[in-house]
Amino acid sequence: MTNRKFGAALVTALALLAARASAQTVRNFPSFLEPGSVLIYPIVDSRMGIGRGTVISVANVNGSTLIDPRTGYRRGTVQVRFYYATVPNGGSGWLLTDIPELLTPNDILTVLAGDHNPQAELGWLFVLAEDPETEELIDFNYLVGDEVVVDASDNRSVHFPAMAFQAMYSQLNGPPSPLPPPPNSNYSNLGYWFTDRVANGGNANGSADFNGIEYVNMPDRVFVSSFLELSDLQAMGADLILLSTLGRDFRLTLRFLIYDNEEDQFSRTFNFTCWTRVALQDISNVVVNLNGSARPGTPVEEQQTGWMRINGDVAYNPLTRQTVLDPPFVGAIIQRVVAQPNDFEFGHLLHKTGRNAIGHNLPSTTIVNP
Amino acid sequence: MSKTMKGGAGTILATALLLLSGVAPAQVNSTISDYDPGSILIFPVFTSDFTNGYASLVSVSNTNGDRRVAIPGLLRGDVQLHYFWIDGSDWSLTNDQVVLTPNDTRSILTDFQLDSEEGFLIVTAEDPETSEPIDFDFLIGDIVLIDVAGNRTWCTPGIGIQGLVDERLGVGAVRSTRGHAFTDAVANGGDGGTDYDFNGFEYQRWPSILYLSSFFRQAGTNEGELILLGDLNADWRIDLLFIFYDRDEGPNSRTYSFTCWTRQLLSSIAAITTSAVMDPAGWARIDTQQAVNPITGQVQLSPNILGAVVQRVVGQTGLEFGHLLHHSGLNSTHAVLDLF
Repeated sequence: MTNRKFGAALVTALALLAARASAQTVRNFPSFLEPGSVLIYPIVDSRMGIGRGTVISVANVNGSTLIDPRTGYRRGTVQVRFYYATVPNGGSGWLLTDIPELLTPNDILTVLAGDHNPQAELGWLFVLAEDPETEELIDFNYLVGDEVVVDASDNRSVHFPAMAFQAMYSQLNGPPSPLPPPPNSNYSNLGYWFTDRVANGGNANGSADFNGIEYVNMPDRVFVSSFLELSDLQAMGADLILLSTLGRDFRLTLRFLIYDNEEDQFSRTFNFTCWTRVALQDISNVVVNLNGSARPGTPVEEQQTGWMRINGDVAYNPLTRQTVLDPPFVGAIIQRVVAQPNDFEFGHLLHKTGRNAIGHNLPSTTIVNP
Repeated sequence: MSKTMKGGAGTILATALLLLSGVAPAQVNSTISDYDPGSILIFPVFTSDFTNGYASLVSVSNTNGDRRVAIPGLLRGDVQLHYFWIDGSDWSLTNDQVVLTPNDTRSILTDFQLDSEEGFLIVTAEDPETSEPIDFDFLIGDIVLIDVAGNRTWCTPGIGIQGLVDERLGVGAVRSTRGHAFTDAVANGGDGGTDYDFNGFEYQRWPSILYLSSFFRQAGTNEGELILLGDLNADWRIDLLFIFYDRDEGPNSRTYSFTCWTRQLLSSIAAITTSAVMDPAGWARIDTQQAVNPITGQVQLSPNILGAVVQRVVGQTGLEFGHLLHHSGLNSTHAVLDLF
């Protein structure tokens, strides 16, 4: 090897190393608390009752205020499309209401769900980032959000961050050229990749695909990190909120492994369609007796709790007769202790791990098995 | 170029190529995992003051269900949890260790454990045999903050931070008898010290920016508190830059400093949060500027912080709610927790 070639190789290697050292590892699974291009809110109650409601916030943390002369928009502007997915009483599939909103750079939108969506329903919400000019889906990992679910009549409230799902193309390829896009470009006039374009690896189906190409995959497995023993159902309660992103007609079967205070393992299957809020004891009666140790010497500070591991087993669409193995889902938990004169209520998103390989999308079209 | 220099350059090139090939230990540039299982859990706040009606219920579960026997009496999924309770006023530590068997969970009320204090809690995974920290990305947890007198509770998960030895070295790592890689061992790319290094080698790095995704205007009965913690002990003052955005997207900057850990009313941090321009809600971006040790005169740029927010409706029992702060990026300054 000549000195020149050797030097060039060295420079290249070191440059690659430097690039590697500076680049953040690409994740193809979601990081719920990092800004994303899709937000999922696990529960939304838009029924206007006395003191009851859901306050939803979305903030655009992109602060680029340069004005694009072609569109007149500031470059950090984004259209967020709210999709309220609701499950009618006795229904077996979700109904969607979509509402577009414009967020300028550093903007925040806070709405009362009952005002924003007059359909007066219960369910969940997803928000997609779109180009304000073309209304196409864009890679815009700048959205953060949260929700407060309030029942003032019972003095209860819980707070969930929205689950953020990141678009992939900019993570893999960096931002588009700062130059104006040519006609039919694969990025917008405001400078964001179109996630659904074939040129960007998308499938041009008009939906946000959680396939590790357009957007990160969904989690593979979900955990309830702890729950209190429900030994007195008059005094305590816990509800699990589960939602499926597969599509409106799929009935999911989940496999629960429930661990009590002695690490005994109890399995249980549970079915739901679209979205559900279910009491833990309706999933398994194990939760009412967690087999707390009566051994002498058990520390007084230790409380009777258990935890759960939840896997997707199978999803079935009775209309299309399509079956999907290992379906994706996410969720949250709400617990309460009933005390006079008020209740204690608290909750959080469910923990998760892994990457679910089922390619699917929102709003749902077809399912692609891996 | 002399032969010696060629040899030196060749070594550099060989090292570079080795690193590129992924054979040698390489830094993993990933940040905290939030809701994924981790080897370290950080609970941004605990309270323990039962006399005045405050308590916390901390739960940690071991999702590793490996019940194979490593050596007689030891299961491969066993883990020792090391709890570090850090008093937010002065960084004084209370620590205890407990072993969780596979699929075990432990929920404890702080009032039986601690004196009247508040601060933050770090739970680390250790090898039960040697008490050395291990790469054991199987811990999940949550904490319920209870205000008995005010009839209020809220809940936040522990922030999961993953060990990175398995990602970097795979089967080549030096391991415990139970088969878990030692995060701090020099042979595994650790520094062999007694601290916890969030540097992309031992554990995931901390983020560079925090976001308060929304807060209600701090007026009338709305009250919010920001909870912030740093990786630096009570000798250090951490300087932050807040930018509060109102309903008209107007940026309102404000600097703020704290030591060790803080739980501060939003209205005390910045009066702009009480302004009508924040009606109904605003949001904030939080950047770290520097940390200063007034005793030694040391300055550290871009110190590391994590946090949470809790909001309430004053005068209304039950209406209290909170969550972890959002975050992005990788902090160029590595976080180091020295807990011994």
